[in-house]
Order: sequence, then structure tokens, then C-alpha cells
Amino acid sequence: MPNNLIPRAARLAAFTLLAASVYPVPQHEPDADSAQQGRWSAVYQAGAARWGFGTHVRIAIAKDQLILAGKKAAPFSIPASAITAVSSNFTSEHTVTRSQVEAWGGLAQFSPYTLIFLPFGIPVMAATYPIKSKYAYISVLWSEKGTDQEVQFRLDRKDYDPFLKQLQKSTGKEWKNLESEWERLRQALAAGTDHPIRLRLDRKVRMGNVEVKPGTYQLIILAGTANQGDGYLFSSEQVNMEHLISTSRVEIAASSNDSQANDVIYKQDDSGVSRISEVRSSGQAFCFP
Amino acid sequence: MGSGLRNKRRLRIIALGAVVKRIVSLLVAVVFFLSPDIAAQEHIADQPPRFHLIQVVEATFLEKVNDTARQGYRLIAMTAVPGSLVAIMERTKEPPTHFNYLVVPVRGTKSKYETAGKTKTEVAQQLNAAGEKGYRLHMTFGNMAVMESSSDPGTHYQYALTSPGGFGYFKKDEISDLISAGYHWAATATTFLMFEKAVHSNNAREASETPPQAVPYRRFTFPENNIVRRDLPEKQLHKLASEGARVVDFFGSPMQMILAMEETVPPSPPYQYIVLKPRNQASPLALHAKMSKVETADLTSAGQQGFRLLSLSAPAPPFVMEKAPGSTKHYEYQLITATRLPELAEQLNSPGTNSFHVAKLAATDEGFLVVLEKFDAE
Repeated sequence: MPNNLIPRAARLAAFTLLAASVYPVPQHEPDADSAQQGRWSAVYQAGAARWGFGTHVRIAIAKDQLILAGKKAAPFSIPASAITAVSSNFTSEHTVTRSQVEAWGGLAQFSPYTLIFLPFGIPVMAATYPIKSKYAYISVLWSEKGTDQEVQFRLDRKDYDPFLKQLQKSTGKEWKNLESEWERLRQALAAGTDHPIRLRLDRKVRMGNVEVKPGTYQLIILAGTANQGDGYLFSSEQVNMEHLISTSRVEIAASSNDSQANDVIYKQDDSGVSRISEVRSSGQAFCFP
Repeated sequence: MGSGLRNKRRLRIIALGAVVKRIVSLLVAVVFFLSPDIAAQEHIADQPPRFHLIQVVEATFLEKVNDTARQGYRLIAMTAVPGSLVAIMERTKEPPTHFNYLVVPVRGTKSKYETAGKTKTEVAQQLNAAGEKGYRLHMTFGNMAVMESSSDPGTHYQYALTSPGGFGYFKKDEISDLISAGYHWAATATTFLMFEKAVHSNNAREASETPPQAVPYRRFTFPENNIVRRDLPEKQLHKLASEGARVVDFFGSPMQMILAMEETVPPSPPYQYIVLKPRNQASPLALHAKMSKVETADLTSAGQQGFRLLSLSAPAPPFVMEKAPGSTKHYEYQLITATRLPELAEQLNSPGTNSFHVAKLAATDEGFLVVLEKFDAE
């Protein structure tokens, strides 16, 4: 009579808990017509609004302001005309597996005995591991009445483009759209006009607003007009939008270095922070600001 | 008849017009003479505001501070609220001085589980490397040490750190050795004590060859509140102060706050202290505490008796106020509270704060608290 060892109610409860742990925590789905309304669901990360990390907020872009509204807290508004910089970063995260790990953690805190069901949970976690959610992390900086402030939030990747377009309409300024930049880069790579330059950084450097650790990177230069171009630094061998670390304007000049090895020349700014000054590769020098 | 009437009306209108002109010109003259500072106000409006405030995430903080410093501002106070760092920067006096800042993290950067000893060495190396380049420790907050470019090219600064030993106590011998070697207390960051020594380029050799003193001139004690470990050990403070010790800092983590007091041998004339903090006004039998608030009047009342607010690492309240022996200075305080940064900037840049300077910036549950101070000597 092994079935009688665990009462039916307990089995039902355990099954429910297991099912709940497997079911991913629902991300706030945007309304079907949210893009048209200029409203999106986002997850607050950090900054001037007084919400905790991970707070679910609604973002609305009105005619003259960007409004972040929490469920309980008072809305936080940013004057659109005061926005000075918008930067973004794309990631893919194992949200389904992470939700399961969090659920198991919660169960273990509730009662350590629930961990006897963990052997059922592990295969489910392994099976769902390849499922990834795609996000855009956005940072908005603005200057208002003698202040500089910043907020950071996470949007679903599909909301990124409509959000940026709406923001451009509202602010009247053009913000760098990583998706269209990536498309331009992909076309250039496919056409064979540009190729990645393999770089080895022997020290910690700062490129734009990003701190880059020592290691091996891929740099792609997209030539523009009049010896100007854009440099894209990728963190791994694979040139992928999610591995894009930083972008920067570069000046392109001729170099006496014809060797295959790529030289990196560093400089230190006033704060003592190392930056890439120049990259020399195949007879060309790419100068960073 | 008709033309005569028309002429009369015209004359009346002309006369009325002249009267109106006179009234208007008189009004303009009165307005002009009653407000002679219009031109001055316009001139002031053109000037950048005295205070510039920053609230950004940690990764952007240094960049924004340096951007603002390049416009002629100096970092004077900072605090943290969940998810962001807040700084107050003040416009430098004429001629504008351009400062530059760098941040040294007071934590192990090589490994997540680095020992305090290794962290101490690593941080000291970074501070000394910056000191060599002409930077000086300006302020600390949490696990950040902010260094500022020094305006004196003939002097550079050296740093040494110490941290609590295995049993959680500071090694007094190590501190005595540092003091004997010419270091003085500079700041605290988490539980690290930072000592600084100025080295003048001309007499660098002279400074390094100064014979160490056999008996330490100063020594430090670190009383703690053993009942509520995050609270100020007020009784011990007053007891040690009466014996000639002086408050240096109140620092640590919310789990364990430490008071640092400096004693001199022989003892110096005693400093006096007042601790202002919210007190429970409810009856001991009441279920809920009813806390009083520290008001501007409380600070100013103590200030008028010669007590001055100390700038300690711990968030305020408690406000610890000190009176030096024989001091005849009087202090006046203003408390400014705001829920949002632009609101705070507006209040700080209002004409009413012109004669005050920022003494303390703190984050509260409701927003921000700034203590402004001004003093006059008797």
C-alpha cells in the first residue's frame, strides 16, 4: 500500500506546487494596442524614482512627458524636453528556468521537505533551459532645474522599437536605435565590406559609458563619410547583438602598420581611467575620441 | 456749431492723452526707482545656479560629477537612496577652479570572497597611485572613496588603511604606528579606517626621515552600543568626552555602528557634546512608539550655545553637536526637506540660503534632508 503513505490531499498539494514551480512567472504582457496608445509594461531597475529593483511599472509617453507609474506609488514623470541621453542594451535571459529556481527556493523556505520533489523539477528545468526571454535595458538621463537625473528600466524587446519611435516623436530628438544599427551592421557584414578586428585588451578600459574588462574582443568599424565611422565592440567570438558592449564614433586614418597583428594604444583621461586611444589594423588607424 | 463741438472734443481728448502719458511715465519712473535691483537680478539670472544636484546610478555617477565639475562646480556632499547615488555640487568662487574626481571602490575587486587584509592592501595601493598623480581623498560614502584633484602641485598624499582584526576590534598598535609615522585620521569607509600623510615634494626626503615618536601622541578608542548595536553609545561618548576625548566619526554598517574617539596624551581641555535625536514620546505602556522630530529650532538653539554639527559618516539623525573649549562662535541652522531632487535644488538655490553652506545631506524615507549652517564669531 505505498500510495497510502502520502495522503491524497498532500499529493494534490505537492502536484499543485510542482506545477506552479514549472509554470513561469508571467511577465507583464503588453496590451495588444499598447504601442498605439504609447503605453508599455516595464520593470524598474534603478535611478531617481523611489521604487525598488524589479518593481513592475507602466510607462506612458504623453505629448510632453515620459510617465512611469507604479501600482501603489505615485507616478514619476520626466519632462520630454529635458531628456539629454537615452542608451540601451539588449539581453536574452533564461526567465523560465529562473522562475522555477525562485519557486523551488520559495518552497524550500516554506518547508524543506518539499525538496523531496526536486528530482522531478530538475528535468523540467533542464528541458526549459533553452527558452529565453529577450529584453532591452534602457537608461534615460535628463537635466531639469539645476539637476541631472537618471532612471533605468527593462522593456520587452518587441516594445523597444515602438517605445523609441514614440520617444523620438515626443522629444523631437533622434535616439540611437540599436535594432536598426544592428541591421545596418549585419548587412555590411553580409556584403563583406567590413570584417571583425580581433582585439586583446591587456587592461580594464572604459569605452563610452561602459567599463570593459581585460580579454579578447571583436571590433567592427562601419565607415561613414569623410574618414568618420562607427566602432562596435563585441564581447565574444560570436558577433551578435546581445554581445554588443559599446559603440563609439571613430576617425579613420592611414597607418604605417601593415602587420596582421592588431595594435591597441591606450590613453588615460583626467580621472586616471584608461581608454582606447587608437586601434591599428591592416594599414588603417581607428582613432577613438 | 457741429464743427465747434468736434474741436472741443478733440482738444479734450488731446488733453486727456497728455494726462494719461504723464500718469504712465510717472508709474514707469516709480516702478524703476522702487526696484533698483532689476538689472542685478537679470545679471544673477544669467549666472549658473549655486548648487547643481545629481541623482544617477552608480555606473554613471563619476562621469556626471566630472561633467559638472568641468563647468566650475565642486562636490560637497553625497548620499545614496535605493538604486542611485545623490550628490550636491557647489559652484566654485571666482576665479572658477576646475576639479576632477575619481572613485576608488573600497572592496575587493579580484575575488568575491577577498579577505579584509587583501582588500586593505589593494585599496591602499589604488589610493596611493591616485595620490601620486595629485589626487587627495575628498570624501567617502558606503564602499566608495572619492578623490579630488589637488590644487597644490608641490604636495602629494599617501594613504594607509587598517581594519578590525579577527575578533572585530581595531588593532591599536597598528594605529599608533601609523600616527607615529606621520599619518593622521582621514576617513572611514565601511569598517576600514583611512589615514593620510602629506608629502611635500621639496622635503620629501626630510619627511620620510623624521624619526618615529616613541610614545604615541594620540590614541583612538572605539566604544560601541552593546544593547542596540546600530545606536550611538551616548553615555560612553559623554564619559570619554569628560576625560578629554574628542569625537572623530560614527561609522560602520546598520548591523554594527562604531563610534571613534581620539584621546590625547596629556588630556586636552574637554569638548562638550549634545546629541539630538528623535525620542519616544508615547507612554512606556503604549503599543506604538510616538517619535518626536528634530527641528531647526533644536539645532539652532544648540548652535547659539556654541555647539556645531559634526559631519559624521552615519546617517542623521542622530545629530552630534560639538563645542570646542573656549569657542565663542555661534551657529545657525536650516533644515530643508524635499521628496524630489528638482524640488530640493529649487529650495537650495533660493535667495534665503545665500549666507548658509551645506553641512549634511541625508536620504530619508520621504526623500531628502539637507542641513544648512552659517556661523558668526562673537
